[in-house]
Formats: sequence, structure tokens, C-alpha cells
Amino acid sequence: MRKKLCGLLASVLVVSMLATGCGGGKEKANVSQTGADNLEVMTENTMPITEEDVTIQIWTSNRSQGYVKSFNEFQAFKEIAKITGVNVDFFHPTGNAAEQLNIMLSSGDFPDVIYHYWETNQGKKLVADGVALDLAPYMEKITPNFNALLDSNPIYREGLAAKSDSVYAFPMVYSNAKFLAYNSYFIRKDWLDKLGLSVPTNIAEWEQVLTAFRDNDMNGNGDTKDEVPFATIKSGNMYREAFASGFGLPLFGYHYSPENGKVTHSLLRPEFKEYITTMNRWYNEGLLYNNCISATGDEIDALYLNDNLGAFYIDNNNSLPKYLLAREDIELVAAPIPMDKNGKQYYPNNRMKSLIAPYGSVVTTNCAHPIEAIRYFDFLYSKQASDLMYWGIEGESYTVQPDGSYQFTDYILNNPDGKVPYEAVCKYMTNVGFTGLHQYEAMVGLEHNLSAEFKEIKDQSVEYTMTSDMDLLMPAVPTTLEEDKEIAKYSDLSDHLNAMFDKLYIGVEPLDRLDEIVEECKSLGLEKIIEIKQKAADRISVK
Amino acid sequence: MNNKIKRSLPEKLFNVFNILLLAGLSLVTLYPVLHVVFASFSDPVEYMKHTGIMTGPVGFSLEAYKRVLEKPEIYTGYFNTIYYVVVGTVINMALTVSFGYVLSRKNLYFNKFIMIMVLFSMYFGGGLIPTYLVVRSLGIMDTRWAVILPTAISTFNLIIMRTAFQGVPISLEEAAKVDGMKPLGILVKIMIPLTSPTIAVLVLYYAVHHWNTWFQAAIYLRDAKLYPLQLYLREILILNDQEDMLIASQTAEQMALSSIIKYATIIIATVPILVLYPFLQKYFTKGIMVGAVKG
Amino acid sequence: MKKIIQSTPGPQGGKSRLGAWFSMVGKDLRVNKSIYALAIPGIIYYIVFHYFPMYGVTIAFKEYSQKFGIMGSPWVGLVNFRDFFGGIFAWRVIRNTLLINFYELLYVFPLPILLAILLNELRNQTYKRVVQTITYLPHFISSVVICGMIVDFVSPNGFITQFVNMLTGNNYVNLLLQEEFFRTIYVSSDIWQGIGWSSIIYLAAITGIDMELYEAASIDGAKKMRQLWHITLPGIAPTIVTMFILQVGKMMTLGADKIILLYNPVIYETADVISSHVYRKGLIDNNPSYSAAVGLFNSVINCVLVFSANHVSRKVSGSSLY
Repeated sequence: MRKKLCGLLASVLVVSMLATGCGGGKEKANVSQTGADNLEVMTENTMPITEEDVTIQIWTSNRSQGYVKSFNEFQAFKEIAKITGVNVDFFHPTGNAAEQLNIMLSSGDFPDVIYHYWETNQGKKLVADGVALDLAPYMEKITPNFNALLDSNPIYREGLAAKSDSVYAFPMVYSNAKFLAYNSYFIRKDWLDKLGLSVPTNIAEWEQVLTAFRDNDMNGNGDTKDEVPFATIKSGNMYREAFASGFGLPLFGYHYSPENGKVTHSLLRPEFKEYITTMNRWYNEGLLYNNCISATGDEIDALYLNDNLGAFYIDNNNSLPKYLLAREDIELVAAPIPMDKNGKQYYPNNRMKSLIAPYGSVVTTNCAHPIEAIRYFDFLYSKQASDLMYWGIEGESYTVQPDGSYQFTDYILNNPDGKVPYEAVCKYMTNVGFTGLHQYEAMVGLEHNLSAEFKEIKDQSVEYTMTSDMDLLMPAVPTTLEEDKEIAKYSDLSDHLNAMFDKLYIGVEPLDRLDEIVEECKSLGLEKIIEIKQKAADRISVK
Repeated sequence: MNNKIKRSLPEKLFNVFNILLLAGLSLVTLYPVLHVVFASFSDPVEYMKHTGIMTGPVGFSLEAYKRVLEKPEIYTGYFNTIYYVVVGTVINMALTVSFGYVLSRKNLYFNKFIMIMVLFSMYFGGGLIPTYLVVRSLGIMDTRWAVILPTAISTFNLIIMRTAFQGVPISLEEAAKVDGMKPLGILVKIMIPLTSPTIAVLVLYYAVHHWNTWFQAAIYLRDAKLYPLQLYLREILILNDQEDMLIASQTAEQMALSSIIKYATIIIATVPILVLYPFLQKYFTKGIMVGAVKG
Repeated sequence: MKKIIQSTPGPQGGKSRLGAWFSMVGKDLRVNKSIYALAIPGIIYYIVFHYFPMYGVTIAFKEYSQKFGIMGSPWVGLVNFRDFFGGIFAWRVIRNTLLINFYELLYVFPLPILLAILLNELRNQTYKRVVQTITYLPHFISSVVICGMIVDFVSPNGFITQFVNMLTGNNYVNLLLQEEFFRTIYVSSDIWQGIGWSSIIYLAAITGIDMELYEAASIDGAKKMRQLWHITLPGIAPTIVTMFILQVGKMMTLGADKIILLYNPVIYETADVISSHVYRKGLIDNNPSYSAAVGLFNSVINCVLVFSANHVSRKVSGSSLY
């Protein structure tokens, strides 16, 4: 009897799942985009957006995790809800956000809005897959604030166009390129002073300084061999950028050729041989940290803190304050990007070519109130919302100075509960940004309590980056989905390029094999990829 | 009984050698554990400077423990984890023992077929998304069952259980059958006591699995009140590992502290489950079979 | 008694073969219904959570699109397989996966058995428990931390690097930049972390051996080595064989997490395995169909290996999984 019952149960289970689960393979995405056609053009996004009870559910990873359990806690969103009449309800993934997003999308279980870091081609796929609404038709009608911001500076339109042919997300927008100027060269000022040398500006000067660092027991501990003149870390492949500028290359990778505006790869440039030969020589002579190509952050930390490190190429946001705090007796100074023969200083990363962040809010086809959602996100680009989102509430978290500038209050800067500014602001808003105009002044305003020394060094390093030359950088260009597929076919190439660079650098591969290596890379599709990138770049220049 | 027999010289030599060898092995395997313990009590800045082998905490600080333990989520996490460990392991063992017993019987026509199907499922799976859809269609999303049921049997453990049952002399079962015992009775009264060392191992395997697992919870749970401890701790680990170069969302002190917090987290997450082992160790004592086989 | 079922198949009287089969199966189900009833929860579990989702493997032959889901995505035949095998590094990653697994089988597999036997020889129970407990602890430390330590130890100032330099007279900077050391580092760290944990199952098996056998052997004057050879090893042989077959069935599988934490482009030649290769490819082009295809290929090989190992084992040792 019991067996029969169990058997019955089992078959019911299986059948019911065949019915429901299989159907869960989902047939939707028929949501019409025609909603935009019937809309009237708005010159102003009038508030409130709606009188009805509208709540938009937003999924995003909680990047303020250390400080708040949920974005719902931020005062700014409550204030904005009062103004717009639209409530937002955040929920956050735990563990691996990307994986959970993937499951959500694949199972059709996604919320009204997803705020996330989008890879360049991911947004296009979202629209093509029927997950995201194409925002372009709506932008012609109901997003006056967003449009006004985009029109305020041509770099915004360019940046947006570089993401995709269409607009699939309401991005976070940086007010200033200084946000993105974070990798810099730093050098021990006290060591330079001791030697009577000045901050190096080109490869010859660097070699002189690093050699002196190596040979003259700089830390004065009697051991002439424990100094490491220069180091950088594996993470972010920073060793494949360091010093490249001094040879007229922005980095090891794809870039524009200066002569004809054609796409090329460093490996194919005549300057590359000189660059890699010098790096290999420096490596062998002990001017570069001998574990440079696989050094962890911890390793560099220890070198610096134990007074062994002379100069390094590292980020100025996370590592620099840590170093300054831990060894107040060490004097640092920012060094300029090494100059090449023609006096050019090439910045290695093309992120500064666009002030549109990869983070953005996608309105999905599951959203029951797309018009309200779109108008809500448009409102976030208004001055009023941006102030709420990045300064908080006037009189509570910030005050307006006589000259019209803003300043954070003592509650933020000298918090009575001993919270650091980044934590204190979390009562009002996220410290990591969201859709809208992220104001640089607000971010700098939070650094108020850091030492004057830190600010001086950081400002100097940012300044060096801001004045660098970017004409060799690849324009940020959207490739088509077909081109992406084509590029993916040659994925072995990037493995080989990276392996060969590293091997040449430390001398596992002899330098006279360079020509053979170039041929190997060509046979793996190097020229093919350059061709695709060229096509994409040409599309942009035609526009 | 060993004491009664006079030991030869080579045997004595072997014993000394054995003791020394295992002492060496213990030292070597103990090191990573000590490293974590020492690091978790170290002063953050001193620890950053440190290179090489640690012979004790560098500096001393309890800050990392304070930071981790002041979060209220840790305590709900502990409760949930204990729930998943206890209920999950009970279900695991009930299914593994009963199914393993059936599969260990030699005279069942369908056994070979079932066994091959079970083995086959070790190698071919539909992947995450179809499994997610099954869990959703069962209506157990966002409940504790979503964490427990999808891993109700580990095939690996099932096979171990089956191997242990096969090792029990067939004569005992035959005798019980003659006495008129039903299969369930044979399983409970004879098979389980005779395979208790293996059962203890599997309890340990399953319990440790439930203790360490966070994946199911991360995928199937949205209600933070149901999160197991490991999910919270993972957040702490990931938070401290993520290098968000764009925005310095932490202060310098916190950055220095972050690696120490990682170690304190491991200690907090591991110590309770370590306690389980000594309890189970008594089942690995020699001679447990003797009485049973004779009786 | 127990042979009844197996000895009855075959045509009987006027019945057809099929009819005979049905009557035999019916009899089997009837006679053993209370045993089969015990299996029902397990069978339901496998059907619901393993067999039902299995339609998902089809995406290996499809171009997966979120829009159409698993069932609706278009078929593309063997394109995903061609992408994998067409790559110039396909052979390299397959070779590395197999080699590392082979060394694991050679060293990581037998050492816990040896440890269990040695532990069993200890007379002092307290000491035995202490050793047991200590050796099993590293299992609980996440591989991120273990790998962090390995990286530290083989870095320029690491004691292992210095020790190796002293022994060989070489001047290695970092052992993880030397192709020839990667497998050794990987395999020995696995032993380091897992030997105690893996020995538990063998300890349990040794516990199950009838003590009377040892007593009888001792009285006969059998030496330790002979007891080990004739009593202990045969006693735990079924467990060893089971574990061995399951291990062989993992030859094509090697988790990416530890590899990714340890390797670097200079040593791809020996360190890059299937999973890390797929992982890197995934970073460039998120393609579930491609990873499903590689996974399916691995599964097929694993499956063939496990079923052959089982077959060989049945012939040689008489014990097998089914």
C-alpha cells in the first residue's frame, strides 16, 4: 500500500515537473517596445511622476556592504520617493553576484530593474535577448534630464555611443575624469634626497635612479643587497604597462599607431623590441623586483613597509593611504609618467576616454511600470537628485558655502560615533555611486580627514595622469555581436601574447626569438583581430 | 592483547620510527592551522610587514574578532547553519543508509540497473539552470528545503555506504531471515550496528559538507533570515578581497585590518565543526565488530 | 535462496521470452517488495534532482541564448566541440589535466591508506587521536588561504625556494615561475592539505576488520608485515577498490580554483588545465554552451574510464561497483 502511494507520488511529481519545469524554458520577450510610440515629448520631467502606488524592485550587489545591509536604508532614496511618488525596493545577492545574475536572467526570474557592472557587449545581448528595454525610443520623449546632461559635454555622448549602438542602461556618469586617474608611479623622496637626485622623468633617468637605489644601501641597514629598486604587482597586469610609455607605447596591447591612425598591437611596433629588451636587462640587473610578474599586493606591502622598496607603480586610492598610514617616517613623491624620445607621456588605459561608467540600471521587460521607472531614473540625473545622492540632505550632511560650493558637515567629517566619512555618509547615500551624476567634489569632500601629505601626493599623481597623452589609446568602440563571436574564436591568442611577454621579460624565452614569436601570434589570428578592431574604429570615425 | 606478545627488535624499531614519522607529519600539517591562528591574533600593520614563517602572532590584537563578532548576522547564521547541519544530515543519512542497503543486496533483479543509473548521474548533470528550474517548480524556493533537498544524497557517500554493507558477512543476514526478521529490522538491528564506523564517517562527511556549503543558499534563498553562517562569512571575505580601485570605500585602518579579518573569519567559521570529530572518533576504535559477529 | 531469481530466467513451458521476463520481474518485485520500498525515496531523489534536469546537457549542442532558454535555443551541432578541439592549446590542457590526475592517483591516493595503517599501528591511543585530529585540520582551511601560503613559501624569500636552491645549487627566484616544479607543488600541497581527511575512511574500514583474525595470526607467529599483507590490506580492499574506481572516474576533472590561484602565464605549459582554460575563455566570452560542451566531453571520458576500471576490477579483484 505504502509502496503504491510512493510510486503514485513519484509519478505525479515527475509529470508535474515535465509540465511546469520544461515550460520554464520560457517563451517571452514579446513585450512590445511600442509603448514609446504613444508618448508625448516632455521638455521637463514634472514631479510627482505618479499619484498611484508604484514600487520598482531593483536588484544590485550591495557594494556598501560593510556599512549597510540594504540600499533601502539610504535617506536619499526615501527623499526621492517623496518627490517622485515612486518607491524603490532594493534586494541584493550574496556570494557570487555575476553567477546569480546569470541564473536570474536564464530562468526569467529577474526584477524590474537591474543595476550592475555591464561588460561592453553584455548590454547589447540583454536587448537582443529581450531582457532589457531599448531605451533609445524613450530617450526621444521622456528623459529631459538625462538628455540635458548628455548634451552638456560631448564626451558623454561619445562615451555612451562607445558602449553600444543603442542605449540599454541608465549609467552612473562621472563628473570628472579625475575619478579614473588612479594608477601612478611613486618614488621614495627621502632616498632621492639622500642621493641628491631629482624625480626621474625618462627612461635614462629612471635607470640612473634605480641603479643608485640598488647600489647604495639606501635603508642603511648594512645589507647592500636587500633594496628592491622598483616593483609592481601582477594584479591588473600592471607590470605590462610600467615604463612602456618611456618607449613610446601606452601598454602591451592594442592601440593606435601614431603615424596613420591605424589599429596595431605593441608586439608589431618597432619600439617594442627596445622596450622588452630594456625590461629584460633591468630584470637581470636587479633593478626590477625579481618576482615582478607574479607579485601579490601583500608582497609589495611587505617590501615597502620593511623599508626595502625604492619606487613602485600602483593605485593611489587603496594602496597609497595604507602605506602612508603604516610608515609615517617614509617620504613619498609621485613621479610623472616616463617620457619617450618625443617628450610624450602615454597613459595606458582607455577608461579615461569615457566618463560613462560601466555601472548602469537596466529596465527589464518584466517591469510593470516601465514609463514610471524610466522617468524615475531620468530624475536621478537632475541637479536636485544628484545633490541628494552624493551630498545628502542640506543642513544635515552638507551645507552650502557663501561661494555656492558645498561642504560636508561635521556629522560626516568628524562623526560623533567615530565613523569614518565613508561610513558616515551611508546614513544618507551610497558611498560607491548609483545611476546619476557622480560629483567629483563630493568624493574629494569625503577625503577631508586624510592627511595633507596624502592629498598632496595624490593630487600630484592625478595631475600627472590628467596631463598625459592619450592619442595612442584605442577609442572605446562597440563591436557588433558578430564581431564579438569572431574575436572569441581567437581566444588562444591572448593567452599566447601574455605568456610570451612574461617569458621575454624574465628571460625564459631568448630575445632573439622575438621575430618567431611575432609570427606565432600572427598565425593565432593577431592580424585578424586587428582587422576587426580597425573596422569598428572606422565606424566611429565616420560618425 | 598486544602486550602479551613479546616484541622483536625490528618491531620495536618500527614503532619508534612510526611515532617519529607521524610526529613529523603532524607538525607539517599543523603549520597552516597555526598560521591562520597566529595571523588572526596579529596586529594588522605588523602583519603586513611580516614575511616568511610565523612562529607566533606578530604583535597582538583582538580587533578582527571584535569586528566579525559584533555583527548580529553571525548569530542568526550560526543558528541556521546548525539547523541545516542537523536536519540535513539526518535526511542524508536516512536516505543514504536505506538506499545504500538496497543497493548492497545481491539478489535483486533491478539493482545493477539502478546502480548504473546512480553512477551515471555522477557524470552527467543538467547544470545549474535546469536544477534551479526544478527547485522552483517544486515550490521550495526561498525555504530551508531548497538548501537541504537538492543535496539529499551524495553519490560518493552512497557508494561508500553500499561497500560497507557488502562487507557484512551474509551469514548474519541469513540467520536473521530465518528468525523471521523483516528487511527494515535487519537494517536497523544488524546492518547499522555492524557498519557504525562507516556511518560515523559519513555523518562527518555530510555534516562538514552542510557546515561549509553556501552555494545552494546563495542561489535559492533571498530571505536573509535563512542564510547560513558561511554565506555571511563569504561576504566578509569577498568584501575584503574586492579591489575596487575606483573608490576607496574603506579607510586605511580597515584595509590593513582586512587580511586579519579573513583569518579571524576562518577561525570563527571552523572551530565549532572541529569539535564534531573527537565525538565521532570513538567509533573508530578497534574491536567494535568482535562482539557483534560472535553474537 | 539468494540465487533463485538469477537462476530462473529463460523460456519456460509455452510462455514467450517476454512473458517469462515479466513473470520473473513480477516475482522479484513481489518477493522483495519490502526491500525495494526502502529504495523509493532514493530513487525519487535521483529522478527529480539528477535525471529530470539532465535535458540541460543539450546546450552543448546549441548556441545558448537567454531569450529562448535551454529548450528553445537553436541547435548548432558540434560547433562548440570544434571550438575546443580546434584551439592550439586543447592538447596541452588535456595532457596537463591527465598528468596531474595521474600523479594524484600515484601519490595523493595511496598515502592516506598508508597513514591509516601507520595510525592503526600506534599503541598509545591518546597519541593516535592527537595525530589523527591534527592531520585532519588543514582540510578546513579554504584553498585561498592554503594557496596564499604556498605562494609565500615558494616566493623569492620563501623557505621552500631557499631550501631547493640550497639542495640543487640553482638560483631560482620563484618556484612557480619554473615549469618543471608546478606539478610537484600542486600534488604535494594536495597531500599536505588532504592526507588526514582522506585517511578517515580507511581508518573506519580497518576498524571493521575482525580482531580475531589478528589474534589467530599472532598465535601462529605471523610477523607484523605478514599480518598487514594478509589481514589488514585484504580487509580494507573493498574500500580501496571503491575509492580507486571513483578516483579513476575523475581523471578529466580538476577544479580550477587552486590552479588559478597558483599559476601564471610563464608556466601555462605545465599548469594550464581544462577547467582553468575554460575559465579564462569564459572571462573573454561568457558562453555556457562552450563550457557545457567541454564538460560533456570530460564526462564521457570519465564515464568510459570508470566503467572500464570497474570492469577490470571485477575481473582482477572480484570487487566492483555493480
